[in-house]
Amino acid sequence: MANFAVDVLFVQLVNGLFIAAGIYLVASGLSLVFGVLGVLNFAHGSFYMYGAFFVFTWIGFKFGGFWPALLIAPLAVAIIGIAAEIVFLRPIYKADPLYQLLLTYGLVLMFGDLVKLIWGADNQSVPRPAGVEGTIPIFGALFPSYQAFVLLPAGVCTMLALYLLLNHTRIGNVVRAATQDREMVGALGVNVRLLYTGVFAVGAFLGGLGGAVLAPMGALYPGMDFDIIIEVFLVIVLGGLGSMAGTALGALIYGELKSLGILWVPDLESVFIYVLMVVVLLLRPQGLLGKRVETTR
Amino acid sequence: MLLRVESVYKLFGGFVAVHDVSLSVERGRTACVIGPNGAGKSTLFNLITGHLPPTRGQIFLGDRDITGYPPHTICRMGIGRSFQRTNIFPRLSVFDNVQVAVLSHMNRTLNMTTPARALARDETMAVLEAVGLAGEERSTSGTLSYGLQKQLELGIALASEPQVLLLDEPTAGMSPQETADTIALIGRIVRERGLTLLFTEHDMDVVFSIAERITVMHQGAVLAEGTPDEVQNNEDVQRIYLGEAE
Amino acid sequence: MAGVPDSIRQSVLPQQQAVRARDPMNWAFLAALVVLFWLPDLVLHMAWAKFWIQFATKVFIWSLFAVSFNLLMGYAGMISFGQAAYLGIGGYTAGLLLKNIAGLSFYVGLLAAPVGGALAALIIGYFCVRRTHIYFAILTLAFGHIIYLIAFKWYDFTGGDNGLIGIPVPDWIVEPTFANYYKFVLVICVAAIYLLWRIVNSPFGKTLTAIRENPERADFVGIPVDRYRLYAFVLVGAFSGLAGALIMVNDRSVYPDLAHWTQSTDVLLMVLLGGVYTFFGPIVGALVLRTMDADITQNYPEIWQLFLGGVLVMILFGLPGGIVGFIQERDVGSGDDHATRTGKLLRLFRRKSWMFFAAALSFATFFAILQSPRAWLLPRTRGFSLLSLASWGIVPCALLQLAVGAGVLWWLLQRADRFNRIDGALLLALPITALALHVYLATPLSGLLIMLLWIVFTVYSLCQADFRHAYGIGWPAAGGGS
Repeated sequence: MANFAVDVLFVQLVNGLFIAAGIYLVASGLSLVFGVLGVLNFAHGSFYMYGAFFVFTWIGFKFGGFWPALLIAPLAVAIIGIAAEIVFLRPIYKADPLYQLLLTYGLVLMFGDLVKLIWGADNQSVPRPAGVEGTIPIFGALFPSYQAFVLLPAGVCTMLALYLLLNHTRIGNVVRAATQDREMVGALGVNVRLLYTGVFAVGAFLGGLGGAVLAPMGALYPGMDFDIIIEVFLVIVLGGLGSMAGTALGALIYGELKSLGILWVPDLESVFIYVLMVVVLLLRPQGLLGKRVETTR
Repeated sequence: MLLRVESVYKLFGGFVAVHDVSLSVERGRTACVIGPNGAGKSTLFNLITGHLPPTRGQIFLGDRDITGYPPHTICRMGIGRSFQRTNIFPRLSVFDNVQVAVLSHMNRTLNMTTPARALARDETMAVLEAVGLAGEERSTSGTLSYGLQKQLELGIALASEPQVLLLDEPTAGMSPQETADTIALIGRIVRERGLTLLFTEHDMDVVFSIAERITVMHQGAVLAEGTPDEVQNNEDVQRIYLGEAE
Repeated sequence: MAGVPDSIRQSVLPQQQAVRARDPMNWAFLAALVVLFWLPDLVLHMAWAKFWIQFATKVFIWSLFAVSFNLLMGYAGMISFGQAAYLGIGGYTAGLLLKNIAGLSFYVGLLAAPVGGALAALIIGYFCVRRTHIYFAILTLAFGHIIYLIAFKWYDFTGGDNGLIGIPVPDWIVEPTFANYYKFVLVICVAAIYLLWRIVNSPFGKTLTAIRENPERADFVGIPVDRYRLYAFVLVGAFSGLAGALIMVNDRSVYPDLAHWTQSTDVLLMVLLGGVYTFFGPIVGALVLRTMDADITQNYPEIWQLFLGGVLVMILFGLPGGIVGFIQERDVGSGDDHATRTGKLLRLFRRKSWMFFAAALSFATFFAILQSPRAWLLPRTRGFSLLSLASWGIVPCALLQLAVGAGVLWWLLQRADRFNRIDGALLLALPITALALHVYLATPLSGLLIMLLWIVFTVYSLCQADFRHAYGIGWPAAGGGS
């Protein structure tokens, strides 16, 4: 009996890792954009959704295959992101943050409905690619191959790539400096406009990548942008707004909590996310690794 | 002693912003806190008015210990404050700016039925007259010139009928003429109402012309304290502060 | 007022003058209310009576919800993303009480709704108001969705997805053709909105605006900011609960959808569209949004969100003060008379005319395409008739609208700079254009509404003596003039 409990626990812990990797992929883009541009982009969930739907469309083509889609879909989303940034976001960088939130909310509404118009309101699905449809035993327990060989490595690679990019390249230094002080960076001769667009494009790419990688794991439906954005908000708030490391940590904690939570209280799964968010925002709004947040003053 | 600060400390993480500062002002007197930027003057004010809780130490208003109370309570106890960066209600009219303070002082802000237009007009206009804004009551406060906004700041602070007035750099950014006018206005108001005044300043002429006691702060601690003559002749002060170009 | 200095007396006089000038407006307002009250009896035997009456009833309820929401958003500066939760709570409170307690007086059940809304707002608000801005927005969003999920999942209590149906209401509500309920709702909403009007103009209301402008300063004039925010939140929760109960009675059922975040979006849009910093703006916004809703969701429900998003984005870019804000727009600090204000308004409109024009064109084309998505070039109906635009193709239609619209606008803008009188003509020319466009687009409700709004604005302007004087229009004013 004791072995059984340990086995179950082990399975849930590993599943938690998978969930964490998936949500990290999506959340990293939003965290990056918020850190540099200061905009909490509600429409990031839309990027995720488009990433998934683009994969769906791509593999519907005769020449399409899953693996190229993993690169093409996020690129397409990045292009949409650039367009959105130039048209909608540039004029409002100097505005009240709540104003920006409302604007991105409007974008969510528009993007979300466009999905319904283009792909219809029914659920779609993306089949797992050949070679990773099955399961693989790890320490005697069976895990889906896709999660183990695609999802988890993708998450880890993204994390490493972001870390290296931000901390060990010149561009990364500029980006990190911009997180601290936007005006100063501009005064130092950096083309801030280009920087913003570039960062936003990367953020959109990451969101689309998340959608693409997570596409074979569930249904694609028009409301998935809203569902994912709440989870992403939670992860970012939990880890701390503006901290990339915090996002990774938050994703890990969230993944494990969700996995174990499903085990213990399966019925309340959907409410669980919101309750957790409320608890975090009330007790420690700056998250685990974020900067101290002003309260009502 | 009307206002008494006893050995307050304020630490932000490892950074000591205020280190063992004690200060006292007698009723009806004018005192000034000076020091270079970063000396901790504004932090000290924030400690007194309750915007920040002191890490250690106590603050007394008369006999009452007011340490750690929230700002709105301290305001009601009789401390009024103007802020270094103009802190008004930008989209409200000048009249509304002051009326809110007056109504708050009269404890009538929970009234949800009487039209506010008709309330406390005389008291509000009296305050506006006192700070020289009588003709401007319908202007949107955010569009006023800097000097007029500072006068409005003072008006809002006065509307709460404080016993102690804390002014954070009241002449910052003003021309010599504006400075003189502002100091004359403040002086007149303080005399007429018998207020106790504590202010911070960078302009040494202003300081030495109206302050009765001066506290010099440097890097969070009190460097010297006394009458203007004593402070001017203090060697440490001369070396560190008055010798600097100002 | 002996002994009062001249300066004070002079500052009081303009207020008195304003009050006197407002008296005819007050009478006009009351007259309009009376007309509204008896309107259903007039239309009872026309076709579509039930639709119009129920539509109007809905507009009243949503106006109440929107005005109360604006107390929170425009006056207190707290943007809540989950306000619909209180609609749901009000509806479910009244519904559950009326359904499960046999013989409970209808009015008691109805009164329980604002109490329920206030209680919920007290509990939720206690936690939310401590945080500001983005955190407050996310918190209210999360709480709002939790309420929705509770209503959705607690099958035993709330009926879950099936909702609460068959809630008993007195017979007089349903007969005849909802006219009685219309009157009932009108009275309640007018009373509630009047109450909100008193609150907004009271010291409490002023304090809220001060908190919005500068919470730090408000704190330091002796106002406990968090507590007052909570009071505002609870008040708004009560009014929202009442609105929810009224909706429940209208449908005699309540579903979890009432608390869904899409309803929260609707009211947010209404307030932004109508004018965040005005009192009556949300009412205009409610009217406009419900009209467009009726137009669009009847025929194309799948694009409602797209439309909402587009409107939201356009408002944020071009019309941040909303419709009423745009009409009321005045230079800060100036004491312009009505004519000058209208002149400035029209100049502002000219500056932004490209945006209005682009918006009108895109919506017009969009609707045209929607009506028959496959008929890009081909005529929509089988028979082709030169006089019936609907039988042309989509692309020719859109191009025609583009040409006509551009031509009209160009002509007006050319003239407007030279002759002041044309400003007046501008006021009249636009609704005619809009009407023509909309009749052809088969969205008659929206077209009529735009016509109505502009007619009201035109009449209002013409009633101002100084406006007439400045533009050299018509009859001499009695006792007025600039």
